[in-house]
Amino acid sequence: MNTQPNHQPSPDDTGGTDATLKPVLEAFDRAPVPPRPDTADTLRWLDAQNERLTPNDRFAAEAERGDAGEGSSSHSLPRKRFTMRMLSPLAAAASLALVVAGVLLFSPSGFDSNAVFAQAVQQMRAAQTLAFTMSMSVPGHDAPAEIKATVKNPGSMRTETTMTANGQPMAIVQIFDFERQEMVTLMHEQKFAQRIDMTGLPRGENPHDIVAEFQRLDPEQATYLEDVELDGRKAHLYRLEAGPIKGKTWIDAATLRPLRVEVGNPALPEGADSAIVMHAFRWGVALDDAQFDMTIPEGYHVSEMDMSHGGPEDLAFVLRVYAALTEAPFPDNFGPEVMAGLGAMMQDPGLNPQENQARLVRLLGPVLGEDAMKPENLQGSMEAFGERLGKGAIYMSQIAVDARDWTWMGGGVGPGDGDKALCYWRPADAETYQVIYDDFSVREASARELPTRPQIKPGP
Amino acid sequence: MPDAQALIEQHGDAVWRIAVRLLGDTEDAKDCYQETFLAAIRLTREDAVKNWSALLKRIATCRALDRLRQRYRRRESRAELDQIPGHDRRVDDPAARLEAMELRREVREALGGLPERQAEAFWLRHMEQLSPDEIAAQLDTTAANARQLVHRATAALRDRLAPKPTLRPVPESEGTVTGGQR
Repeated sequence: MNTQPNHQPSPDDTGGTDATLKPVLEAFDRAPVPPRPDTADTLRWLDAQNERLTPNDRFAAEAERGDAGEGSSSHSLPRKRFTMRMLSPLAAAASLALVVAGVLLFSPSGFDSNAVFAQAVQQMRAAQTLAFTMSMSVPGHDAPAEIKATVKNPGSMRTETTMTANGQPMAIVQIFDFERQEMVTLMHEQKFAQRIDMTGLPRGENPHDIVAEFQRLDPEQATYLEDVELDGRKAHLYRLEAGPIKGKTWIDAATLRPLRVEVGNPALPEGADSAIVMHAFRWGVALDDAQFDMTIPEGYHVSEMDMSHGGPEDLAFVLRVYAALTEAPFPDNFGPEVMAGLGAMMQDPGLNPQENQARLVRLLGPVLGEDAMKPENLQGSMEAFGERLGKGAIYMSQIAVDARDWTWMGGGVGPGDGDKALCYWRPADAETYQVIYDDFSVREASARELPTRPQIKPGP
Repeated sequence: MPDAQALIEQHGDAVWRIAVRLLGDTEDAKDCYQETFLAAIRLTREDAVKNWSALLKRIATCRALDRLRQRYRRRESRAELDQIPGHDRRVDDPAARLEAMELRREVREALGGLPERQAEAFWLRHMEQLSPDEIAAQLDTTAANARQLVHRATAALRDRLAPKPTLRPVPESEGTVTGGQR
């Protein structure tokens, strides 16, 4: 029972129609379609399911439309300064957190409305450009990583991150084109560039235009707390909450624009310090188009990366790398902020560059294989390594956003024989759980088969 | 809050067709069908829906592709529905019918291996004939990016399928995949 008319291949503005596509479309046209399920049965099933609807399901449903978006991660590995290159995940993770903050914080959710906040939203909707600074606490760094971000509507963002590695400053520039879903990372001093195709990222993972997200802000998601003074200005303080993301925002009483946003990390336990602070907002600032030019200068080493298809195995890889770099049991909590710290773990500040490289070869050799760490293979190995870390980082963030029942139970556990679980979660839309064990294997489990706490107590 | 019954009656056939065609067996398709309406009804608690047809097609495609990916990740196989029980046998040539079935199996496997958004965009564009603007609205992106997604998916499928013998023209005497009766 096929009620659809014959398919004619769609116009060639979307990839062309040819001898390959035509039989494919016709083969599906010929597929037999039996009568659909009985409407009354379907309604009964829907009623039964709706009675079991939970708040977490609501958030997952929001994610279904792709409203929950995230950034990408990249890992720049220029040819010479091996240990410095490994720090680029820090900038990537920070950019990712930035987009998570922007998107999730301002995605629709149901909270009390108020007129002042609605006016603030109107102010933001009028702006076409935005500049702000984001600070992110990173394990292993004494000071928060600080990122300067500029956004140009529609669809462009640039972040600049400066950090110190081996006593020398290192600058990382990342430029996003949200319309084309591409990102370029540039390290000018090292003459290194990485171009990342993000069109293949799983649903809900593609970075969104953060200005557009601001402009879509739903006034009903903020709850007014009190009037306070911030940096000498009178501000209205609001509580924000969207799914697992909780934070605060200070709205300038005079301009009705945000002065500061603080967001906790959903992977951290309740009550933990805010992980991300956005401040120094400047709306409607004049920006030069050249700042968003994604052309890679001549003479740069260029790495191409496709960020699609991250999965549990990539997260297991990240855990394995973490264990190798720390040579210690896992911490009590593990989330995107710990991944950001991986960059810092790539170097020991007490060692010179050559000693640091030798250290990394020793630590990562067992993970990547001795051949991968040979000097002639190092460049390719590190690019592949960075890509896999990026996929793992993105998958971790996806879990934080839309998976169910994320449970970290690896506190105090080190690499082992596969008899202790490090973590488990149930991916959105899946019926079974994914469990990563201390031998970094990934296994599926039903709810009944899940490991139970506690396995081992953290050390003193 | 939408009237679920009206939604099902108005859009049930389209959702069911997507589920059956993409999944090939009625049990999986039934789950996908029910989950699509459930997801749609939940979404409307959060947001107004401007285009029910496009939204439901998108959700159904998305859910069915999720199941395809799970199926191929677990290396599960399904026997495809070849005929409709209780209906007359289809009149087209058995060889052509088998060849079309094999092609559908290959395409399902290929779609299950594509990045999600590419696979969704491909199906919505070519099978459901949504416009790039409609796809863009559903995928929360631009029409240009929607075209890009379809383009990349098509190129990937072409690479995957072109060398396969199932795409060779079948002699007229045997019936053809491209020209068989419907």
